[in-house]
Amino acid sequence: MTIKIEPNLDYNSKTLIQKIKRIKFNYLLLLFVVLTIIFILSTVGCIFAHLDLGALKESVRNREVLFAITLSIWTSTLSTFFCLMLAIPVAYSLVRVRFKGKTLVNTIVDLPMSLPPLVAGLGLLLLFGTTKFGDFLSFLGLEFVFSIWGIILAQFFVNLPLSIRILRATFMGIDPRYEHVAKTLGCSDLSSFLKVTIPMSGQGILASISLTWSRAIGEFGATLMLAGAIRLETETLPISIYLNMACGEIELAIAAAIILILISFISLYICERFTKFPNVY
Amino acid sequence: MTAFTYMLVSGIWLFGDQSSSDEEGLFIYCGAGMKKPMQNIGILFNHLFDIKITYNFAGSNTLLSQIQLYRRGDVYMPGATYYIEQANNSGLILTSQLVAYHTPVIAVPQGNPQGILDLVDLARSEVKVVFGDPNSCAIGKLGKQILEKNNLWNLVEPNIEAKAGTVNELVLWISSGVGEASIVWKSSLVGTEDKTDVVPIVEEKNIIKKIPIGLLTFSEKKQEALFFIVFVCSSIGKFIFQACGFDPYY
Repeated sequence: MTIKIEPNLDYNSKTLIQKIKRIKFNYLLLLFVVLTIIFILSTVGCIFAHLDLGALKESVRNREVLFAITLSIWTSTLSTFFCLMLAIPVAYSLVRVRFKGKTLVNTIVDLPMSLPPLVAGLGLLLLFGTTKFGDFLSFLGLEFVFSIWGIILAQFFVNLPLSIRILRATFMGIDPRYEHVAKTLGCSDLSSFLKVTIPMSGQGILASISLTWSRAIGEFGATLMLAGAIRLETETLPISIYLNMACGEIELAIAAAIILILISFISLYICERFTKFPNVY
Repeated sequence: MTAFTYMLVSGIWLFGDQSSSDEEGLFIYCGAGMKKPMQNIGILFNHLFDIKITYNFAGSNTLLSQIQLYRRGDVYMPGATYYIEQANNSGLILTSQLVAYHTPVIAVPQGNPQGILDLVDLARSEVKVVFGDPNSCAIGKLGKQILEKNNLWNLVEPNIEAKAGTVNELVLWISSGVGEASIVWKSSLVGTEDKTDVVPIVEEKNIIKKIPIGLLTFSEKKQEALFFIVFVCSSIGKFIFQACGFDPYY
């Protein structure tokens, strides 16, 4: 039997119709991109349209807002760091280690993602505020309820599944043969992981950092429940926005929202510049 | 580089003075709507008596859950007596006082273009009414109750152009002239005097909420907390509330 190659399946075909077809498909794809961009930009644009420049100037000079900016950047950076420290080993073991009940473990790991943040905050408040375990930690000086550590913990809990998911996908994309080769060349399990797997998943780790960080800086529900909204103590940017809205200071709320958007945009853009398309091995 | 140094220094400062903060002073759960007057009262109180006041602001119901679960703190100040009754029923409140009224009024754009004088005018078909969503904000729920009390809800409802999730959207719509009449809190109109006018609702037709303040049973500094409550209810505290657009309770 001979296989007949249909001429119109030839990818490099130069006929006009095929060219048009390919261009058409690209335009169709780009149309989706444009629609997405329009949707996001018009939402953000509406916030910008309500911006009162005077309020923005007042905000960036306001001690409370400056505090909120600093606090937000610090807590989200720290919570992202802690997320990564836990997510790397967890994601790696979920990919490479064989054990019973993995589906169940995967489901449990994903669970916090589906919880409304307010409920997550409630659970954390119960665990760290009302149990012997929480009392013990607070005896050690680690107070989570109504404190900065509460903000970090709330962001950590809410974002952990996200970090794990991204890293799991990254590790899945790396062929275990590279690690086997490293081991045949004398590497231990740990050093093959550190010297081969981690460097190869650099882009995935970067993507995980940028997503986790940007979600952390916007986290609100769980933070409000666990850390509260205490002026100059646990008032992050999203909480500052919420408080200004509750008092009818809509201009100040929008100014704070725009500061948050700008910070997120700049950091995400920098991250995006350094993230290339993941290498396929 | 300077930004980096700033971040580093600020970080040390942020995490450095953490531990001592919740040891002294009073911890107050305060409804977010009362942030402005209460913060001023707190600053004054701290200045006069050297007792540190720490506020935790959130919606009254969020605060109630926090109190019920965490069982620490000194004072609870929700936006309506309903919440303090709830707290009292769970045995969380030792004693409570009333501080101010939360008064619903009719808000109209500057100059009152539709000539609205009473609740009845909201039922006129040419008036563009904007309203709080009864399911998602307190003023929407209360506004509906007020209209129902006056047998007007069925007449006004078809007139409602848009519903808002928060009272501040209503204020924004009225001050920009998008809406021509709405029922909002009197205090939420403070600061928009040049863009909005207030049409008061007669007392018999209105449902006025009272803002309470209560001492929590598990407070470890009951004396100071009670003193703070007395201060909030004093003429000084009430004066500050009045300056922020609330009618003080007498």
